[in-house]
Amino acid sequence: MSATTMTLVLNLLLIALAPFLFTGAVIRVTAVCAGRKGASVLQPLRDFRKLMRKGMVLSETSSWIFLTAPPVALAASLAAACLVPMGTKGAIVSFEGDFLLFAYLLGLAKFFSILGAMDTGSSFEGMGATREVSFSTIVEPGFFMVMGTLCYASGARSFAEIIASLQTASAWGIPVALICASALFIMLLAEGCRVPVDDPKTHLELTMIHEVMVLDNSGPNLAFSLYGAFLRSFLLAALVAVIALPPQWPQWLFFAGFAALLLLQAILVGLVESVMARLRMTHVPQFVMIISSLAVLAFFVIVLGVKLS
Amino acid sequence: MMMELLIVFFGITIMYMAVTSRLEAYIKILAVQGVILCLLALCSIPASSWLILSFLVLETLGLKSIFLPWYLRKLVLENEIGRETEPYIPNFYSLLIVTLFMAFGFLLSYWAYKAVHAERLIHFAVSIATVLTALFIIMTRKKLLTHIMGYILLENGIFLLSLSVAYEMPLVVNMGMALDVFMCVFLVGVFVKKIRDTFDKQEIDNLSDLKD
Repeated sequence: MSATTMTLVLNLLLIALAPFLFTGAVIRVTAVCAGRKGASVLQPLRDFRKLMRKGMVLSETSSWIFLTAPPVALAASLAAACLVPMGTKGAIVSFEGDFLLFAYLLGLAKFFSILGAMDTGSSFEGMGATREVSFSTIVEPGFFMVMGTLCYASGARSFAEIIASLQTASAWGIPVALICASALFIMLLAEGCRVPVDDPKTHLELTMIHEVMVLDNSGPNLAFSLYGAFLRSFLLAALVAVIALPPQWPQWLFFAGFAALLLLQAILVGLVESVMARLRMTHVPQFVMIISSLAVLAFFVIVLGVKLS
Repeated sequence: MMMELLIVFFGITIMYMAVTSRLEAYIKILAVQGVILCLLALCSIPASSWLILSFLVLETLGLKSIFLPWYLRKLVLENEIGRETEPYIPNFYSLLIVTLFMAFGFLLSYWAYKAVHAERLIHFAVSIATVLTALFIIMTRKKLLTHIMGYILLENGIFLLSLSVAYEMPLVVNMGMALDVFMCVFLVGVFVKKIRDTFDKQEIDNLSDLKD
C-alpha cells in the first residue's frame, strides 16, 4: 500500500469514527469527574444510529431551507475534514492556501446551520443564532492570525507543509507551535460549544448557543447536525495535535502521539467542563479574544526570532 | 529552548492578568512570574559570584514568589477584601489594550535592536509590555490592593528589562527596587487596615473625597 493510499484510508476512517469517540471520551471524563460511571465512549455513535433510523418531524411554517441546512452543513464540514492533516502527517487533499478553504468551509457550515435555525421562526433559535454569529466574528480573525503566524514561521502555505517545517524552521518554532496549538485549543472550546463558552448539558434555552439552534431538528437531520458539530471539534483537536507534535518523528510514533494528544485533549476538555462553570454571556468575548492575543504574541515572537537569526 | 519557552510564558501571564477578574489569580500570577524570573536570571547571567546569584534567587524566589504572595493573601483574608478585581473598564478592552502594548513592545524592540543583547530582543519586548501593562492595571482597577499588585508587576518588568539590556545584573539597582517594593507592600498593608476601619470598603474612590 502506497503512502497516499494509506493516508486516504486512515484519514477517512478517522473522519468517520474519531469525532464520535472524541465526544464520547469528553462525556465519559465529565461523568467520571462527577463520580458517575458514565456511558460508554461509543454512546454518541449509538445515538447517531438510532437517530438515523427515526422519522423526521417538520414544522409547517418552515421551508426547504430548514430541511436542507443540516445536510449542507455536514457536507461542508466533511469537505473541510479532507483538508486537515491527521495521523499520517498528510491530508487527503492538500494545496497552497488550503487553510483558507478550511476556514471558509467551516464558515459555510456555520452559515447554513444559522439559516436553518432562523428559518424555524422560533425566537429562541434566533437568539442562539445571534450569539453564534457574534462570537464567530471574534473567533475567525483569531484563526486567520494563528494560520498567518504559522505560515510566516514555517515559510509554507498549506497545512501539510506547515506542520512539516514549522518546528525545524527556527529556534522559536517550538514556542510558536505551542502558543498556536493552545490558541487553537481555545478555539476548539468555543467552536465545539464546550464549557466555558457554552454548556452542552444545559436545557435552558436562554443560556444555550449551539444546542438551541438544533432544537427543532429531529431524526436524520438532528443526526447530521450532531455529527457535523462533533466533526468540527474533532478537526480542531486534530490540528492542535499535528501542530504540537514534532514532525521529525517516524510515522508510527507520530500516529501514536497523535492518538495520545487527541485523548489528552478530550480529557482536558472534560476536566475544564468539570471544574469550571460556563462564563456569563458578556464574559465570553474576552475569553474568545484570547485566541487573537496569543496569535499576536506568537506572530511578534517569530518576527523578532527571524530577525535574530 | 528553555529561555524561549520561559519568556513566552511570561508574556502569556501578563495577558492572563489583563483578562482575569479574580484577585486570587493576580496573586498566583505574581508568584509564577517570580519563579519564571528566577529561572530566566539563572539561565542568562554568567555565574560571576555566589553573592550575586544567591541575592537573585533570594529576591525572585524568596521575595517575589513566596513572601509577597503570602503577605498579599493574608491581607486579602484579614481585611475581607472581595475576590473581584473590579476594573473600571470591561476585561475585554483590557485584553485588547494589553495585546496592543505587547505589539508596541515588540515594535520598539524591533527598532531598538542595536541597544539590546542580540539574543534577548524578546526579553526587551516583553519587559516593555509588562511595564505598560502594570501602569495600565494601576490606572484601571479600583482596589488599593490591585494597585500594589500593579506596582509589583512593574518591578517584574524592570527586572526583565535589566536582564535584557545589562551585561551584568546591576546589584545595587536590584537591591533598591526590592527594598522599594518591600516597603511599599508593607505601607499598603497598614493603609488597607486604616481604610477598612474608616470606610468599611476597599475602593480608592473613597479617597478622592478626602478634604482637610
